[in-house]
Amino acid sequence: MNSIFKYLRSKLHVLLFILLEIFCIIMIVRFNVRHSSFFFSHTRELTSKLHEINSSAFDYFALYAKNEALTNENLELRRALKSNFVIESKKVFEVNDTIFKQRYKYLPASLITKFTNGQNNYITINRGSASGVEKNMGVFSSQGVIGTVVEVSDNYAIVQSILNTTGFKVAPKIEELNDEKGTVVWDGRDPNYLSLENVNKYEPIKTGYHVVTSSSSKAFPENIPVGTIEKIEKKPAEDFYKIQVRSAVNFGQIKTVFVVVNLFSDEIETLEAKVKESESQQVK
Amino acid sequence: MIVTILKYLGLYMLIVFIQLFILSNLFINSSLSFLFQPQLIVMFLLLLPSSMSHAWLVFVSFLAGLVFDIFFIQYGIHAAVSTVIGFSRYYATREVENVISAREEDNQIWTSKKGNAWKWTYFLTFTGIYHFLFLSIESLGSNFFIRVIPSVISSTIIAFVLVLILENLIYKPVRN
Repeated sequence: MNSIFKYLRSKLHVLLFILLEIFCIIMIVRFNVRHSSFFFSHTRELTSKLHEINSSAFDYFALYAKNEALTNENLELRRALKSNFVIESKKVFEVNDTIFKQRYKYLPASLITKFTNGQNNYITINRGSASGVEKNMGVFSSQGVIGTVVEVSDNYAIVQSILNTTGFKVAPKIEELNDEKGTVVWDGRDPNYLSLENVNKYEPIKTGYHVVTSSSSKAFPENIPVGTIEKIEKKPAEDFYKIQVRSAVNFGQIKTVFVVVNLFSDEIETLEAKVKESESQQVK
Repeated sequence: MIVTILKYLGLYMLIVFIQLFILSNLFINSSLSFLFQPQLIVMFLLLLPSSMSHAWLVFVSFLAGLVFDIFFIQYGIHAAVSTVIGFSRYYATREVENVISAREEDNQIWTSKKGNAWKWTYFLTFTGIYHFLFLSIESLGSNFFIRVIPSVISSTIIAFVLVLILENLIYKPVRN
Protein backbone atom coordinates (compact mmCIF):
# COMPACT_ATOMS: atom_id res chain seq x y z
CA MET A 1 0.00 0.00 0.00
CA ASN A 2 2.75 2.36 1.05
CA SER A 3 4.65 1.68 -2.12
CA ILE A 4 1.61 2.47 -4.19
CA PHE A 5 1.30 5.86 -2.50
CA LYS A 6 5.01 6.43 -2.96
CA TYR A 7 4.71 5.64 -6.64
CA LEU A 8 1.67 7.91 -7.03
CA ARG A 9 3.56 10.71 -5.25
CA SER A 10 6.48 10.33 -7.55
CA LYS A 11 4.12 10.61 -10.54
CA LEU A 12 2.07 13.42 -9.03
CA HIS A 13 2.94 15.86 -11.81
CA VAL A 14 1.67 13.43 -14.47
CA LEU A 15 -1.58 12.82 -12.60
CA LEU A 16 -2.06 16.52 -12.02
CA PHE A 17 -1.31 17.27 -15.66
CA ILE A 18 -3.85 14.70 -16.92
CA LEU A 19 -6.54 15.82 -14.49
CA LEU A 20 -6.09 19.50 -15.30
CA GLU A 21 -6.10 18.81 -19.04
CA ILE A 22 -9.35 16.85 -18.74
CA PHE A 23 -10.79 19.71 -16.75
CA CYS A 24 -9.67 22.19 -19.40
CA ILE A 25 -11.15 20.14 -22.25
CA ILE A 26 -14.45 19.87 -20.40
CA MET A 27 -14.37 23.61 -19.89
CA ILE A 28 -13.62 24.29 -23.56
CA VAL A 29 -16.42 22.03 -24.73
CA ARG A 30 -18.82 23.30 -22.09
CA PHE A 31 -18.35 27.05 -22.39
CA ASN A 32 -17.42 27.69 -26.03
CA VAL A 33 -20.33 27.37 -28.43
CA ARG A 34 -18.21 26.77 -31.51
CA HIS A 35 -16.06 24.13 -29.83
CA SER A 36 -18.99 22.31 -28.31
CA SER A 37 -20.79 22.14 -31.64
CA PHE A 38 -17.61 20.89 -33.33
CA PHE A 39 -17.00 18.33 -30.60
CA PHE A 40 -20.54 17.01 -30.45
CA SER A 41 -21.07 16.84 -34.19
CA HIS A 42 -17.88 14.84 -34.63
CA THR A 43 -18.39 12.55 -31.67
CA ARG A 44 -21.97 11.92 -32.73
CA GLU A 45 -20.76 10.90 -36.16
CA LEU A 46 -18.31 8.51 -34.58
CA THR A 47 -20.76 7.03 -32.09
CA SER A 48 -23.47 6.60 -34.70
CA LYS A 49 -20.99 4.79 -36.92
CA LEU A 50 -20.09 2.51 -34.03
CA HIS A 51 -23.75 1.83 -33.35
CA GLU A 52 -24.26 1.02 -37.01
CA ILE A 53 -21.41 -1.47 -37.01
CA ASN A 54 -22.71 -2.99 -33.81
CA SER A 55 -26.25 -3.39 -35.06
CA SER A 56 -25.19 -4.72 -38.45
CA ALA A 57 -23.12 -7.37 -36.71
CA PHE A 58 -25.71 -8.46 -34.19
CA ASP A 59 -28.92 -8.04 -36.17
CA TYR A 60 -28.66 -11.49 -37.69
CA PHE A 61 -28.95 -13.19 -34.33
CA ALA A 62 -32.31 -11.56 -33.70
CA LEU A 63 -33.83 -12.39 -37.08
CA TYR A 64 -35.83 -15.36 -35.86
CA ALA A 65 -37.45 -13.43 -33.03
CA LYS A 66 -38.08 -10.51 -35.34
CA ASN A 67 -39.76 -12.74 -37.91
CA GLU A 68 -42.00 -14.18 -35.26
CA ALA A 69 -42.94 -10.77 -34.00
CA LEU A 70 -43.74 -9.60 -37.52
CA THR A 71 -45.91 -12.63 -38.17
CA ASN A 72 -47.81 -12.02 -34.95
CA GLU A 73 -48.27 -8.39 -35.85
CA ASN A 74 -49.57 -9.34 -39.30
CA LEU A 75 -52.06 -11.69 -37.70
CA GLU A 76 -53.23 -8.99 -35.33
CA LEU A 77 -53.69 -6.55 -38.20
CA ARG A 78 -55.55 -9.15 -40.25
CA ARG A 79 -57.89 -9.73 -37.32
CA ALA A 80 -58.59 -6.03 -37.10
CA LEU A 81 -59.51 -5.70 -40.79
CA LYS A 82 -62.82 -3.99 -41.33
CA SER A 83 -64.01 -6.66 -43.74
CA ASN A 84 -64.06 -9.16 -40.89
CA PHE A 85 -66.83 -7.32 -39.14
CA VAL A 86 -70.54 -6.93 -39.66
CA ILE A 87 -72.31 -3.96 -38.18
CA GLU A 88 -74.55 -5.47 -35.54
CA SER A 89 -76.29 -2.30 -34.46
CA LYS A 90 -79.99 -3.10 -34.04
CA LYS A 91 -80.88 0.49 -33.50
CA VAL A 92 -84.49 1.24 -34.37
CA PHE A 93 -86.14 4.64 -34.16
CA GLU A 94 -89.32 4.33 -32.19
CA VAL A 95 -91.57 6.86 -30.55
CA ASN A 96 -93.90 6.12 -27.69
CA ASP A 97 -96.75 8.56 -27.59
CA THR A 98 -100.21 8.20 -26.13
CA ILE A 99 -102.00 10.52 -28.53
CA PHE A 100 -100.09 9.81 -31.73
CA LYS A 101 -99.72 6.11 -32.22
CA GLN A 102 -96.65 5.32 -34.20
CA ARG A 103 -97.36 4.06 -37.67
CA TYR A 104 -93.91 3.75 -39.14
CA LYS A 105 -90.54 2.83 -37.76
CA TYR A 106 -87.28 3.07 -39.61
CA LEU A 107 -84.37 0.65 -39.72
CA PRO A 108 -81.10 2.19 -40.78
CA ALA A 109 -79.14 0.07 -43.24
CA SER A 110 -75.96 0.33 -45.29
CA LEU A 111 -75.57 -0.48 -48.94
CA ILE A 112 -73.64 -3.60 -49.83
CA THR A 113 -73.95 -3.46 -53.61
CA LYS A 114 -75.79 -1.25 -56.00
CA PHE A 115 -76.39 -1.32 -59.73
CA THR A 116 -77.57 1.77 -61.53
CA ASN A 117 -76.55 0.88 -65.05
CA GLY A 118 -79.05 -1.81 -65.98
CA GLN A 119 -82.69 -1.81 -67.03
CA ASN A 120 -83.82 -3.35 -63.76
CA ASN A 121 -81.71 -2.09 -60.89
CA TYR A 122 -81.42 -3.76 -57.52
CA ILE A 123 -79.68 -2.72 -54.33
CA THR A 124 -78.48 -5.04 -51.57
CA ILE A 125 -78.67 -3.76 -47.99
CA ASN A 126 -77.30 -5.27 -44.81
CA ARG A 127 -80.64 -5.73 -43.07
CA GLY A 128 -82.69 -8.89 -43.26
CA SER A 129 -85.50 -10.75 -41.62
CA ALA A 130 -83.42 -10.88 -38.43
CA SER A 131 -83.93 -7.13 -38.08
CA GLY A 132 -87.59 -7.30 -39.10
CA VAL A 133 -87.31 -6.51 -42.80
CA GLU A 134 -90.09 -8.04 -44.92
CA LYS A 135 -91.07 -8.06 -48.55
CA ASN A 136 -92.70 -4.96 -50.03
CA MET A 137 -91.29 -2.63 -47.40
CA GLY A 138 -90.27 0.75 -48.65
CA VAL A 139 -86.70 2.00 -48.65
CA PHE A 140 -85.66 5.63 -48.80
CA SER A 141 -82.61 7.73 -48.13
CA SER A 142 -82.26 11.22 -46.77
CA GLN A 143 -82.62 12.47 -50.36
CA GLY A 144 -85.77 10.61 -51.29
CA VAL A 145 -87.45 7.36 -52.33
CA ILE A 146 -85.18 4.50 -53.32
CA GLY A 147 -87.39 1.51 -53.85
CA THR A 148 -89.10 -1.49 -52.25
CA VAL A 149 -87.79 -4.70 -50.75
CA VAL A 150 -88.28 -7.69 -53.04
CA GLU A 151 -86.18 -10.44 -51.48
CA VAL A 152 -85.18 -11.02 -47.84
CA SER A 153 -82.66 -13.37 -46.26
CA ASP A 154 -81.63 -13.56 -42.62
CA ASN A 155 -79.17 -10.67 -42.71
CA TYR A 156 -79.61 -9.15 -46.16
CA ALA A 157 -82.34 -7.78 -48.29
CA ILE A 158 -82.60 -6.92 -51.99
CA VAL A 159 -84.28 -3.68 -52.89
CA GLN A 160 -85.84 -3.07 -56.28
CA SER A 161 -84.95 0.51 -56.95
CA ILE A 162 -87.10 3.19 -58.48
CA LEU A 163 -84.98 2.79 -61.61
CA ASN A 164 -86.85 -0.21 -62.84
CA THR A 165 -88.71 -0.72 -66.08
CA THR A 166 -90.99 -3.43 -64.68
CA GLY A 167 -92.93 -0.80 -62.83
CA PHE A 168 -92.44 0.86 -59.51
CA LYS A 169 -95.36 0.76 -57.18
CA VAL A 170 -95.75 4.04 -55.41
CA ALA A 171 -98.60 6.44 -55.60
CA PRO A 172 -97.21 9.93 -56.19
CA LYS A 173 -98.59 13.19 -55.01
CA ILE A 174 -97.97 16.72 -56.27
CA GLU A 175 -96.93 18.57 -53.18
CA GLU A 176 -98.07 22.02 -54.38
CA LEU A 177 -101.56 20.77 -55.36
CA ASN A 178 -101.78 18.32 -52.46
CA ASP A 179 -103.40 15.89 -54.85
CA GLU A 180 -102.59 12.37 -56.00
CA LYS A 181 -101.88 12.20 -59.69
CA GLY A 182 -100.79 9.44 -62.05
CA THR A 183 -97.94 6.98 -61.56
CA VAL A 184 -94.17 7.34 -61.58
CA VAL A 185 -92.27 5.07 -63.98
CA TRP A 186 -88.79 4.93 -65.39
CA ASP A 187 -88.17 4.70 -69.10
CA GLY A 188 -84.83 2.90 -68.64
CA ARG A 189 -82.59 5.53 -70.19
CA ASP A 190 -81.27 8.22 -67.87
CA PRO A 191 -81.04 7.32 -64.16
CA ASN A 192 -81.51 10.97 -63.27
CA TYR A 193 -84.96 11.27 -64.89
CA LEU A 194 -88.27 9.55 -64.18
CA SER A 195 -91.53 10.17 -65.89
CA LEU A 196 -94.94 10.84 -64.43
CA GLU A 197 -97.64 9.22 -66.49
CA ASN A 198 -101.42 9.17 -66.62
CA VAL A 199 -101.86 12.79 -65.61
CA ASN A 200 -104.87 14.38 -67.24
CA LYS A 201 -104.27 17.23 -69.70
CA TYR A 202 -106.54 19.59 -67.79
CA GLU A 203 -104.69 19.48 -64.50
CA PRO A 204 -102.93 22.76 -63.56
CA ILE A 205 -99.44 21.29 -63.43
CA LYS A 206 -96.35 23.50 -63.79
CA THR A 207 -92.62 22.85 -63.93
CA GLY A 208 -90.88 23.04 -60.55
CA TYR A 209 -93.65 21.26 -58.70
CA HIS A 210 -92.47 18.58 -56.32
CA VAL A 211 -93.51 14.95 -56.59
CA VAL A 212 -93.71 13.17 -53.23
CA THR A 213 -95.15 9.96 -51.88
CA SER A 214 -98.84 10.02 -51.06
CA SER A 215 -100.60 8.89 -47.93
CA SER A 216 -102.32 6.05 -49.75
CA SER A 217 -99.15 4.07 -50.34
CA LYS A 218 -98.62 1.32 -47.85
CA ALA A 219 -94.84 1.13 -48.20
CA PHE A 220 -93.97 4.76 -47.59
CA PRO A 221 -94.96 7.45 -45.16
CA GLU A 222 -96.36 10.62 -46.66
CA ASN A 223 -94.26 13.39 -48.23
CA ILE A 224 -91.02 11.58 -49.00
CA PRO A 225 -89.58 13.28 -52.09
CA VAL A 226 -89.55 11.43 -55.40
CA GLY A 227 -88.48 14.21 -57.74
CA THR A 228 -89.11 17.59 -59.28
CA ILE A 229 -91.11 18.22 -62.44
CA GLU A 230 -88.72 19.56 -65.05
CA LYS A 231 -90.44 19.32 -68.42
CA ILE A 232 -94.13 19.12 -69.42
CA GLU A 233 -95.12 18.11 -72.93
CA LYS A 234 -98.62 18.33 -74.32
CA LYS A 235 -99.50 16.25 -77.36
CA PRO A 236 -102.74 17.15 -79.16
CA ALA A 237 -103.60 13.54 -79.96
CA GLU A 238 -103.33 12.33 -76.39
CA ASP A 239 -105.34 12.94 -73.26
CA PHE A 240 -102.35 12.86 -70.96
CA TYR A 241 -99.31 14.99 -70.33
CA LYS A 242 -95.84 13.67 -70.94
CA ILE A 243 -94.04 14.82 -67.77
CA GLN A 244 -90.32 14.48 -67.07
CA VAL A 245 -89.39 14.33 -63.38
CA ARG A 246 -85.88 14.84 -62.14
CA SER A 247 -85.16 12.17 -59.53
CA ALA A 248 -84.61 13.48 -56.02
CA VAL A 249 -82.06 10.76 -55.30
CA ASN A 250 -78.62 10.71 -56.85
CA PHE A 251 -78.30 6.94 -57.05
CA GLY A 252 -74.54 7.09 -57.45
CA GLN A 253 -74.06 8.57 -54.00
CA ILE A 254 -76.30 6.54 -51.71
CA LYS A 255 -74.55 5.31 -48.58
CA THR A 256 -77.11 4.87 -45.84
CA VAL A 257 -80.77 4.06 -46.36
CA PHE A 258 -83.80 3.57 -44.14
CA VAL A 259 -86.22 0.68 -44.34
CA VAL A 260 -89.80 1.65 -43.58
CA VAL A 261 -91.66 -0.73 -41.30
CA ASN A 262 -95.36 -0.06 -41.44
CA LEU A 263 -96.74 -1.19 -38.10
CA PHE A 264 -100.33 -1.26 -39.41
CA SER A 265 -99.67 -3.08 -42.65
CA ASP A 266 -100.89 -6.44 -41.28
CA GLU A 267 -104.10 -4.88 -40.07
CA ILE A 268 -104.72 -3.15 -43.38
CA GLU A 269 -103.99 -6.28 -45.34
CA THR A 270 -106.35 -8.43 -43.30
CA LEU A 271 -109.08 -5.84 -43.74
CA GLU A 272 -108.56 -5.71 -47.46
CA ALA A 273 -108.49 -9.50 -47.62
CA LYS A 274 -111.83 -9.60 -45.81
CA VAL A 275 -113.37 -7.17 -48.32
CA LYS A 276 -112.10 -9.24 -51.23
CA GLU A 277 -113.48 -12.41 -49.66
CA SER A 278 -116.90 -10.91 -49.16
CA GLU A 279 -116.86 -9.57 -52.73
CA SER A 280 -116.06 -13.00 -54.14
CA GLN A 281 -118.79 -14.54 -52.01
CA GLN A 282 -121.29 -12.00 -53.33
CA VAL A 283 -120.30 -12.85 -56.88
CA LYS A 284 -120.95 -16.47 -56.17
CA MET B 1 9.88 33.14 -0.81
CA ILE B 2 7.06 35.65 -0.43
CA VAL B 3 9.11 38.24 -2.26
CA THR B 4 9.51 35.84 -5.16
CA ILE B 5 5.81 35.13 -5.25
CA LEU B 6 5.01 38.83 -5.21
CA LYS B 7 7.53 39.49 -7.95
CA TYR B 8 5.94 36.84 -10.14
CA LEU B 9 2.50 38.17 -9.36
CA GLY B 10 3.70 41.59 -10.47
CA LEU B 11 5.13 40.08 -13.64
CA TYR B 12 1.86 38.31 -14.30
CA MET B 13 -0.16 41.48 -13.85
CA LEU B 14 2.19 43.38 -16.12
CA ILE B 15 1.77 40.72 -18.80
CA VAL B 16 -2.00 40.79 -18.49
CA PHE B 17 -2.00 44.58 -18.77
CA ILE B 18 0.21 44.54 -21.84
CA GLN B 19 -1.94 41.87 -23.42
CA LEU B 20 -5.17 43.59 -22.49
CA PHE B 21 -4.34 47.18 -23.40
CA ILE B 22 -1.69 46.96 -26.08
CA LEU B 23 -1.74 43.62 -27.89
CA SER B 24 -5.52 43.22 -27.90
CA ASN B 25 -6.06 46.66 -29.36
CA LEU B 26 -3.14 46.44 -31.74
CA PHE B 27 -3.66 42.95 -33.14
CA ILE B 28 -6.35 40.68 -31.73
CA ASN B 29 -9.37 42.97 -31.90
CA SER B 30 -8.28 44.63 -35.12
CA SER B 31 -8.39 43.64 -38.76
CA LEU B 32 -4.98 42.00 -38.35
CA SER B 33 -6.35 39.32 -36.08
CA PHE B 34 -6.43 36.72 -38.81
CA LEU B 35 -2.63 36.80 -38.95
CA PHE B 36 -1.36 38.16 -35.62
CA GLN B 37 -2.55 36.71 -32.34
CA PRO B 38 0.46 36.95 -30.01
CA GLN B 39 -0.24 35.63 -26.54
CA LEU B 40 2.22 37.11 -24.04
CA ILE B 41 1.27 34.73 -21.23
CA VAL B 42 3.84 32.33 -22.62
CA MET B 43 6.49 34.68 -21.20
CA PHE B 44 5.22 34.18 -17.68
CA LEU B 45 5.24 30.41 -18.08
CA LEU B 46 8.78 30.43 -19.46
CA LEU B 47 10.16 32.70 -16.73
CA LEU B 48 8.77 30.71 -13.79
CA PRO B 49 11.62 29.60 -11.52
CA SER B 50 13.48 26.55 -12.71
CA SER B 51 13.71 25.29 -9.15
CA MET B 52 9.96 24.71 -8.95
CA SER B 53 8.84 21.13 -8.55
CA HIS B 54 7.18 19.56 -11.54
CA ALA B 55 3.73 19.31 -9.94
CA TRP B 56 3.82 22.93 -8.80
CA LEU B 57 4.92 24.05 -12.22
CA VAL B 58 1.95 22.27 -13.80
CA PHE B 59 -0.46 23.68 -11.27
CA VAL B 60 0.79 27.28 -11.40
CA SER B 61 0.76 27.17 -15.20
CA PHE B 62 -2.80 25.95 -15.13
CA LEU B 63 -3.87 28.73 -12.76
CA ALA B 64 -2.12 31.37 -14.87
CA GLY B 65 -3.86 30.09 -17.99
CA LEU B 66 -7.22 29.97 -16.24
CA VAL B 67 -6.99 33.60 -15.11
CA PHE B 68 -5.91 34.59 -18.60
CA ASP B 69 -8.98 32.76 -19.94
CA ILE B 70 -11.23 34.68 -17.62
CA PHE B 71 -9.69 37.95 -18.80
CA PHE B 72 -10.07 37.14 -22.47
CA ILE B 73 -13.28 35.07 -22.35
CA GLN B 74 -11.87 31.95 -23.93
CA TYR B 75 -12.74 29.51 -21.21
CA GLY B 76 -10.30 26.62 -21.02
CA ILE B 77 -8.17 27.19 -24.10
CA HIS B 78 -5.33 29.15 -22.45
CA ALA B 79 -5.52 26.89 -19.40
CA ALA B 80 -5.18 23.75 -21.49
CA VAL B 81 -2.22 25.04 -23.50
CA SER B 82 -0.54 26.57 -20.45
CA THR B 83 -0.73 23.27 -18.61
CA VAL B 84 0.92 21.52 -21.54
CA ILE B 85 3.69 24.15 -21.61
CA GLY B 86 4.19 23.95 -17.85
CA PHE B 87 4.40 20.18 -17.98
CA SER B 88 6.83 19.99 -20.87
CA ARG B 89 8.91 22.99 -19.86
CA TYR B 90 10.23 21.15 -16.82
CA TYR B 91 12.21 18.73 -18.97
CA ALA B 92 14.05 21.60 -20.68
CA THR B 93 14.87 23.57 -17.54
CA ARG B 94 15.48 21.03 -14.81
CA GLU B 95 19.24 21.10 -15.35
CA VAL B 96 19.51 24.87 -15.09
CA GLU B 97 20.74 25.99 -11.68
CA ASN B 98 18.62 28.54 -9.98
CA VAL B 99 20.75 31.56 -9.22
CA ILE B 100 17.95 33.82 -8.15
CA SER B 101 17.47 32.26 -4.74
CA ALA B 102 20.95 33.40 -3.68
CA ARG B 103 20.70 36.99 -4.80
CA GLU B 104 17.07 37.91 -5.08
CA GLU B 105 17.70 41.59 -4.56
CA ASP B 106 19.75 41.91 -7.68
CA ASN B 107 16.65 41.50 -9.90
CA GLN B 108 18.28 38.79 -11.91
CA ILE B 109 16.72 35.87 -13.67
CA TRP B 110 18.01 32.41 -14.40
CA THR B 111 17.33 32.36 -18.13
CA SER B 112 20.72 33.70 -19.16
CA LYS B 113 22.54 31.05 -17.17
CA LYS B 114 23.18 28.83 -20.14
CA GLY B 115 23.95 31.53 -22.63
CA ASN B 116 22.00 33.47 -25.21
CA ALA B 117 21.82 30.67 -27.77
CA TRP B 118 20.12 28.34 -25.31
CA LYS B 119 17.80 31.13 -24.13
CA TRP B 120 16.69 32.04 -27.63
CA THR B 121 16.10 28.44 -28.59
CA TYR B 122 14.18 27.91 -25.37
CA PHE B 123 11.96 30.96 -25.92
CA LEU B 124 11.39 30.32 -29.59
CA THR B 125 10.54 26.65 -29.17
CA PHE B 126 8.01 27.05 -26.42
CA THR B 127 6.50 30.22 -27.91
CA GLY B 128 6.01 28.29 -31.11
CA ILE B 129 4.47 25.32 -29.33
CA TYR B 130 2.17 27.60 -27.37
CA HIS B 131 0.89 29.45 -30.41
CA PHE B 132 0.55 26.34 -32.46
CA LEU B 133 -1.58 24.61 -29.83
CA PHE B 134 -3.54 27.73 -28.95
CA LEU B 135 -4.43 28.67 -32.51
CA SER B 136 -5.21 25.08 -33.48
CA ILE B 137 -7.72 24.78 -30.66
CA GLU B 138 -9.02 28.33 -31.01
CA SER B 139 -9.73 28.13 -34.75
CA LEU B 140 -11.04 24.60 -34.52
CA GLY B 141 -12.84 23.47 -37.64
CA SER B 142 -11.38 26.08 -39.99
CA ASN B 143 -8.83 25.24 -42.64
CA PHE B 144 -5.61 24.25 -40.93
CA PHE B 145 -3.09 25.18 -43.65
CA ILE B 146 -4.68 28.42 -44.79
CA ARG B 147 -5.83 29.81 -41.46
CA VAL B 148 -3.71 28.28 -38.72
CA ILE B 149 -0.14 27.84 -40.00
CA PRO B 150 0.51 31.43 -41.23
CA SER B 151 -1.07 32.79 -38.10
CA VAL B 152 1.09 30.54 -35.92
CA ILE B 153 4.31 31.66 -37.64
CA SER B 154 3.61 35.39 -37.51
CA SER B 155 2.24 35.34 -33.97
CA THR B 156 5.21 33.31 -32.75
CA ILE B 157 7.69 35.76 -34.23
CA ILE B 158 5.98 38.77 -32.67
CA ALA B 159 5.59 37.08 -29.28
CA PHE B 160 9.23 35.94 -29.34
CA VAL B 161 10.52 39.44 -30.04
CA LEU B 162 8.29 40.87 -27.34
CA VAL B 163 9.43 38.31 -24.78
CA LEU B 164 13.10 39.07 -25.51
CA ILE B 165 12.57 42.83 -25.27
CA LEU B 166 10.55 42.66 -22.06
CA GLU B 167 12.94 40.25 -20.42
CA ASN B 168 15.86 42.56 -21.19
CA LEU B 169 13.93 45.58 -19.91
CA ILE B 170 12.78 44.01 -16.65
CA TYR B 171 15.73 41.88 -15.56
CA LYS B 172 19.41 42.37 -15.31
CA PRO B 173 21.49 39.77 -17.14
CA VAL B 174 23.17 37.17 -14.98
CA ARG B 175 26.84 37.77 -14.40
CA ASN B 176 28.92 34.71 -14.91
